Amino acid sequence: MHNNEFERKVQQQMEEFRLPPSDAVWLNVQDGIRKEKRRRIWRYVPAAAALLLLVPGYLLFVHTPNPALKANTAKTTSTVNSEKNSQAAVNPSTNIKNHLNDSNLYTQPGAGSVIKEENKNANGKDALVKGSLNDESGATQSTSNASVENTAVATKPNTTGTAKTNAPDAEKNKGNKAVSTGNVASSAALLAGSTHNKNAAGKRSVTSNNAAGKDDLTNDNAGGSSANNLAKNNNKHQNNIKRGDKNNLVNATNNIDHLDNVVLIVPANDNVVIDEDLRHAMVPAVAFNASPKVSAPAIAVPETKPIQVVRPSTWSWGIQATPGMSNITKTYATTENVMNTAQMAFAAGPYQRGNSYVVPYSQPNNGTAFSIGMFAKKAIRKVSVEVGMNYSYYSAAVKVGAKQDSTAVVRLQNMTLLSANTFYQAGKDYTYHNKYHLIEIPVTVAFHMFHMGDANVVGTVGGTLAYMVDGKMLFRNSYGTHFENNTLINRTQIFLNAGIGVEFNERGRLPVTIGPVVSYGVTRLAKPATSTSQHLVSLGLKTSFQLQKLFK
Amino acid sequence: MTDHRQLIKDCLKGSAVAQKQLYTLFAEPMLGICYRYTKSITDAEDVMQEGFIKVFLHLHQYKSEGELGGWIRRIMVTTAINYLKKNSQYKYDLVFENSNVHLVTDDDPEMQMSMKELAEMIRQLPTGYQTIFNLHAVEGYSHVEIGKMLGINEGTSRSQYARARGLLISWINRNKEDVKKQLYAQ
Repeated sequence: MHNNEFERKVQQQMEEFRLPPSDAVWLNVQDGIRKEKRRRIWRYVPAAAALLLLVPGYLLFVHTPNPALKANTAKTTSTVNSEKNSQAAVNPSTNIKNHLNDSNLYTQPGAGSVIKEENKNANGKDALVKGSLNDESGATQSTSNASVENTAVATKPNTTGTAKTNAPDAEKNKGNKAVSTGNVASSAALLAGSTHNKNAAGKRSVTSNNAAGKDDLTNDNAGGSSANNLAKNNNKHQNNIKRGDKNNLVNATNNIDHLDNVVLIVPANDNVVIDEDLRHAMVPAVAFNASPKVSAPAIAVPETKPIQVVRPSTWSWGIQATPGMSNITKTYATTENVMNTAQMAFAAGPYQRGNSYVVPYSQPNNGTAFSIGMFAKKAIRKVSVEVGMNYSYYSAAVKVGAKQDSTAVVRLQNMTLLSANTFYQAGKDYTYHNKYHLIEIPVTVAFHMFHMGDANVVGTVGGTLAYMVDGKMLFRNSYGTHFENNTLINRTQIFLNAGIGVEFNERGRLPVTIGPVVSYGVTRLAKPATSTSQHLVSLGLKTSFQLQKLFK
Repeated sequence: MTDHRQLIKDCLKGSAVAQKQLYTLFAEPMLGICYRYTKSITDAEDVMQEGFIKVFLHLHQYKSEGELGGWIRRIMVTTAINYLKKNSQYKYDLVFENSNVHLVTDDDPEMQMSMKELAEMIRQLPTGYQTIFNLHAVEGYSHVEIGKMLGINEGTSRSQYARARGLLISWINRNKEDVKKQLYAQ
């Protein structure tokens, strides 16, 4: 409160001063609150993206699993594995199964396993399972042999008046992806399931069959998934599709979007008009029959607003460096392997647990990694595509037992024998460094996400084709012997990359982008003959400098 | 002290009705404040709009220790200052010369004018004077606080305030004489 009378009077008068606002202000306030809340949600996107990147990174590079837990896991499986591994030397396919069982990923016993037995090696190859795809119309029957590595049952379009994509097949494919991580047993059970499509040609319906792991192969929706239920519900929508009825078609398409797999059956003589956009929305979930006359586009779709041009389409180039760390993944779920007495001759250093001998698997640890190279980048609106060439070095430390310089004959997965001049016993006494030198051609797509002050935040995804020019690594056979043999290295590697980058000084002479990048090698480091089914992973801080402005 | 706790709770739950109620309760006095800091009613409404958005987005930070109106008022004043700093129409006028010399005036003119006239007179002051006068004379901020808010030193705030006060008093006195003349003329 002011002591001076003038200030006191002014304050008193102004305290009571009011003005009525216009109605538009409140509407703008409401609008502003909504916009601000929406903007706040987007602020969490980079944090979520960073978490998505950093959590796997943490798990891969920092987190060390509890050995005690692993020991307990090994205990529970040791008896079963003991018996199965004793057969490993005799039957390679059984050997594969034993390794699967090592991973403690058991599928439920059921029809799948029964069928698997029936179909096993049906054509004399190393196929474990035979999946069949039956159509009640009897028009199409396809049989797929699935090996451990390639177990996908092809989604086969019906050529007799129907077009379909089967849910179980997609499920199978998902399961088959798990093969590379050691879950063949579960995928085998899935593969064993046969599928019936009950839809007769000419019937308008959307169905999804999922007979995975079920005995009753004629029962639709045997899998009982929510997708199937959705599919049932969507029958109504699909039935309502009429010639030129845009709304129904759009509704149906929207519903289809919620399904992984649907069968859209259109009578051969129907003239269903499918808009090009709808076609895109449906593919690959829905395959269209070739017989109906499908013309596009016919349905008027509201024009979308043109994308605001943020950056001109320009080429730029520069150099990049990515220091970080790398490691190798293990596909074995347990850290120990159980051996019988005969196998012990190949790997000294096992210890006895009950009636079984156990050889510890080696634990890979993080190694240093770096990558240097150059790139060319083309920016088109908010997206930029980057192609480059890098030299990359990755490493991983593997704990092994005592080194033995005597020559050993190593038996591989495929029963071939290999001579190794140096091998290591199982154990944890010695640290061996796997080293990989690669020439890489990375292709990266960067999406502009948002501005952070003067900086741009971009998300990047991409792939890298690489050739290993040099390297040394330890391989491990199923008996726990670690050995060197460069002929077994799979030199062509493919990586998937994802990351976040912050672009600084975009308008300056030296724009810089910096951010974390995670890379996963989808190809195995070793040739399939070995049981060393490992993949290279790395986490690095990529820093790239655009140099073209410096040389202008 | 008016208890607005239920209203605040409802606003925090996202009730549009409660938000409208709170807005209606405080919109008129707040527009009066914003009007004193700006040169046009449109700008005043812009400031108030921005201020109310902040109020609703930060309402969870309001602790029921003080008057809700006072809390909203502080937000409005801060928003108005930021608006003046950002808006090209004002920011070039909001430059202060560093000076520790200030006139000491103890004039206490007779206030025979309406609130609206006084507000209009304050708005006629140059932007720098207007801002400092509002902050010190009406809002009651000390010169130290004003210095921090505007990024100037305390002495500059004092001298600017003294000039603003002197100018305003002279206008008030002139206005008083004009009124007298008009009365005599009648």
